[in-house]
Amino acid sequence: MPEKGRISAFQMGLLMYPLIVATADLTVPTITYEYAKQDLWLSPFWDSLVGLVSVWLAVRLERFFPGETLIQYLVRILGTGLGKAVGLIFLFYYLHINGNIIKFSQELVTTNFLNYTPIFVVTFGLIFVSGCAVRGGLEVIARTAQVLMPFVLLLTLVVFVLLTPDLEVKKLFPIFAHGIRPSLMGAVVPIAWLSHFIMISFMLPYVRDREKGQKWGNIAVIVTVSALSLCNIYTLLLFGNITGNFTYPVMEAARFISIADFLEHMESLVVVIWIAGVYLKIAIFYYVLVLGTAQWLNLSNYRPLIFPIGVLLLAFSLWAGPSLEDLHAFISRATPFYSFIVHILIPFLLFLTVLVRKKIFAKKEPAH
Amino acid sequence: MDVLKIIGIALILAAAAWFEWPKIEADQKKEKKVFVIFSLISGGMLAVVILYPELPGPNKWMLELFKPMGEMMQKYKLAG
Repeated sequence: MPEKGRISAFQMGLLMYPLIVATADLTVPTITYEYAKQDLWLSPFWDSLVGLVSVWLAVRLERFFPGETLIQYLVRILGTGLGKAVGLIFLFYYLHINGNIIKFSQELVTTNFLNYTPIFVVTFGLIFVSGCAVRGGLEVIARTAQVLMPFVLLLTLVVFVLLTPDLEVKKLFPIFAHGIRPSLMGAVVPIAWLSHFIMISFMLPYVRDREKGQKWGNIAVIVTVSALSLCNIYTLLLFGNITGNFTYPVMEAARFISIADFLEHMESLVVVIWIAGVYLKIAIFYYVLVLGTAQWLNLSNYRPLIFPIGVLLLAFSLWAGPSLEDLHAFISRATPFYSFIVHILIPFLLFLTVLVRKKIFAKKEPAH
Repeated sequence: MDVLKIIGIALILAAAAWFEWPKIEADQKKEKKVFVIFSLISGGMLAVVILYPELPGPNKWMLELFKPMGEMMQKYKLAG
């Protein structure tokens, strides 16, 4: 078995928060606003269904094949040929999405702060730090999450509290002006993020108190969705009908903070929060990719893969397109369906296959 | 410039090999093979991406693949 570290169910839940919120809080308010307008605060709650279904699927599948990750039981369910082929889809998905995350992070750092730093330096830095965490294994990633997350949550809270005096509640109305459909349509794009909860299937085998996995998974879904809804509602109450014009509304919101001409430039706090979160997000994707590849190739150790895959991630992040517009088109037009197919549909079909097989097997038993 | 970048990639991969190679145990033949193959593939891909940045990447493929759904979504955007 390539992974020897063990984490607790609580740490697993803690890892899921940055995995979703780290990048979602920056772009999702704008994208959701385009579809849902002033009902955007409701959309994340529709997405919570996707998250809960993902957690449920991951937990149920793990119960059928205890101690195995998605890549391993794919082969057991579908047979070697088909199982490896579907496994390759998953690995490509993680490689591709992680390349996009890295590109997106680099873009944000470059446009907002390090204007003259070469792209390569920022990208390499992000990959290298995450790579070091991945070398340490799941336990190290979980522990860094445990150290960083309290600060991340605290700073997020500080930003929100400081914004509260500027909010105008009347921007929330009219609620459901066009019925319930706009909020449902606004929930389509964030499916891409909430479906990532299926990635707990790569952590569950290494969780010490596995019976609590579902509980902490569900709590993580609720907390994540609430955080997203809070981001949406704050940007709406602050900016009203210009929410859709910003690339990074939360960043703009933090720029907006000015208390007694003394407390200003809070966007630097947002970046601190966000770099910590994005480091964890990249590290988790990186880890899942490396672990999955090692299991796909039946290796006894995943460490030799870390550096070569890091270089591959660098290639994919450069390949993700030179401009932010391309990236936004991809996020808003392709990722929801792409993620839905890979992260919800395939695991659901796997689950059905296992169920049907068990039924047939159970029917055959009494005949003997 | 591109030549320099490619030399840089080669240096990174060399450093990775210098660091990682002694850590792979002698009996792990498969790991050694995988390490070499992956290094070559990823180095090659990075070189291709640097030399031909206009090459349509996976983002473009996926946009093409999900075009009907993406266009359907556009209809539901609310004006204003």
